[in-house]
Amino acid sequence: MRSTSFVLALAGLLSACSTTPPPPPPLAVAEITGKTCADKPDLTKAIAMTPKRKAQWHSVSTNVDVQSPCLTLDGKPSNYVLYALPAVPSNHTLTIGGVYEPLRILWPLVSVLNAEGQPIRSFPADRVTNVGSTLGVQFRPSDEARFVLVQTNPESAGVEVKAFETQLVSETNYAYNPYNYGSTAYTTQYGREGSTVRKFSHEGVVSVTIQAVAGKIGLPNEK
Amino acid sequence: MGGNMRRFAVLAVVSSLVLAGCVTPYQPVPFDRTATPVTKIAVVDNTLPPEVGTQKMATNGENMMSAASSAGLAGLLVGAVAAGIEAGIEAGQRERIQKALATQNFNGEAIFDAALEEALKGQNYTVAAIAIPRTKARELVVIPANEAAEPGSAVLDTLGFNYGYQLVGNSTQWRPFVTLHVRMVDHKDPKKILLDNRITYNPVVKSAVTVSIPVDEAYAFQKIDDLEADPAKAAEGLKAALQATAKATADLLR
Repeated sequence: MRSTSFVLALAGLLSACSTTPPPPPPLAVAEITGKTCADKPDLTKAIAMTPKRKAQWHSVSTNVDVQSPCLTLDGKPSNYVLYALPAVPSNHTLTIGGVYEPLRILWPLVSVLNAEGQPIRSFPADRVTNVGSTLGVQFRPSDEARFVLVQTNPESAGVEVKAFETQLVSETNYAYNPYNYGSTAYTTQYGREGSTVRKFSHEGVVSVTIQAVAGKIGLPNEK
Repeated sequence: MGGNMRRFAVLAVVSSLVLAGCVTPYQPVPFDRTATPVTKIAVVDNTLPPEVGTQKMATNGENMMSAASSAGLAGLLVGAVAAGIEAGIEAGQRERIQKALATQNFNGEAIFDAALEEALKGQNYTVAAIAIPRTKARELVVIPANEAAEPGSAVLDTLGFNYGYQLVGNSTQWRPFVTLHVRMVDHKDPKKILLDNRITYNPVVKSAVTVSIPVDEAYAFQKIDDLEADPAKAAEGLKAALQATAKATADLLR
């Protein structure tokens, strides 16, 4: 009994010293399997774009994974995320896209729905562009719009995409400071460049940036 | 040098204001062709800087940090802020790049204009050029209202903030870059902004809401000497960058 606890304690000590490598970045999902997909999105499960606190700029990131609901798109399954627009929709600029992850990217098919869930505007696959760190679209919804539906593209899933990228890298380092016997932090920044290979995926992250044109999000008359 | 320093100082103030939250972040105006049926676009003349530029990133510096944190302006600021660094060394390198490109009769403006016109025509727009003097360099022109303008006419200013070759750090290579601010307004009522966005070809920092285009990997030079040794490739690389930027501009008008 005592020896067991000793062994356990020792194991604990050992594991504390060994470094665990970070989990590998998620891989692209080319096919949706084992899900029953609906014909229409569930309007009751929409994610709010309006922030809890009044703001002019707000971002929402949503994981699309195994648990995400799916729709049937031209006979093929496609994962989706549904967002509910703030009040006075036309007072907002929306930037919606799939986030570039190390090994995968979600190609979003975006459509705007009215209160009944009927599509009133849609952005075909070739309308996506690189906005910010996402692949997506940018638009101002009309006032009859209530929801934004983001679906994964069954046509592109699994397709490889190569890009050469430049990045700004920030590193915080510490130097010993002889005056206060402490350390001083300094930040170094440098550019880095390199090739990337990603695959389009049915799973990933959808990012939404909401900017109020006047006032705050959902509150156009707010100062 | 004096001019450079002054610009640098002004930009430093701008970025600190952004940091302090005094300036609202950049907000693009996306174009909606269905809601605003534009058919005729007058494109403002002389939109790129007269000379090919360079930008280099310091390997260490506060300036880059403040530039990077000012989300909205980052794309444009980084170039200008970095331009103030190592200005002396860079001026010599810029001159060498300009000379190399001159041997190829490189005309960035002509390349950009032709590519933009072609791309816009491909989207069924009637395209014409309009000469409006740019009183301030690196600023959008003030478009006068035209009472006689037909409905559906717009004026597009594609302000080239900077373009040329950039080196972003140690162990990287000289590669083409373009930074552009595009704005389209109604010709009859120029207060009506139909489109406003910023496009960066080969961005170092991607701002959350502006358009970026990844660089074509094929065009890279280890040293200025290598670029001078193959000026045709240098011209081709910058041409590809300008054409991609023109196409991205037209894509915003789909």
